Amino acid sequence: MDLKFIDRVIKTTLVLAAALFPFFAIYIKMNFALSVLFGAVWGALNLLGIKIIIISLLVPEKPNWVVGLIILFLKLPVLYFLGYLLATWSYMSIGGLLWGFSGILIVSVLKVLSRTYLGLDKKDTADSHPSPAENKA
Amino acid sequence: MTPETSIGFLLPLAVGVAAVGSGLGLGRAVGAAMEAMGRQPEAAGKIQTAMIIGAAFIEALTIYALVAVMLLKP
Repeated sequence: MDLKFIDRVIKTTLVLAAALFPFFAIYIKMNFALSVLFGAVWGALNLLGIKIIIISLLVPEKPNWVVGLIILFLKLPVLYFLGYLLATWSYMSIGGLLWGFSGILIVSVLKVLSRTYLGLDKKDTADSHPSPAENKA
Repeated sequence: MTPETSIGFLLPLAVGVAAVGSGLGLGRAVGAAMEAMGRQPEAAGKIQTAMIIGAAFIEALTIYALVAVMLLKP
């Protein structure tokens, strides 16, 4: 499970939110569909921000302070203020926003479960750390 | 004290408790990850991925608490 996993989670969530948008708009309500979409986009941007901050600042080598601090100051005041505006906008459905925001968490849990079920991480570990018998060979 | 007043006092307190819990959890997670990266720098990518997912989940708890307060506020 490498850092590309996070990008795949973000892409899957956005595609899922976009695919569900017409169904929610037709069968539930337009404001609910928009809330789910905006919630998912907000959650994806939040995860992207967390990822960039962590890979820029929390690294074993020299941290990239400029990128990390720019994203930190964009994420904390700007993204959170946008989230506050979305949550307080009367047209938006709070439940829809929560469903959209939770989408990224649901996708990541399902992806991790599927990786565990398929044994993909064991395969990665076996590839990167060969067994003593393989070392001797 | 009316029920509305007590809710008005308790809701910000609840967000505060959630934020303190999330902060403690995030601090422990990042500390443990940094320690693990210090021991095995070659596994930094995998540790960072797990840390990012963990951080997102921990942060989500505070956001849920905040939204719950916004829904419940009188």
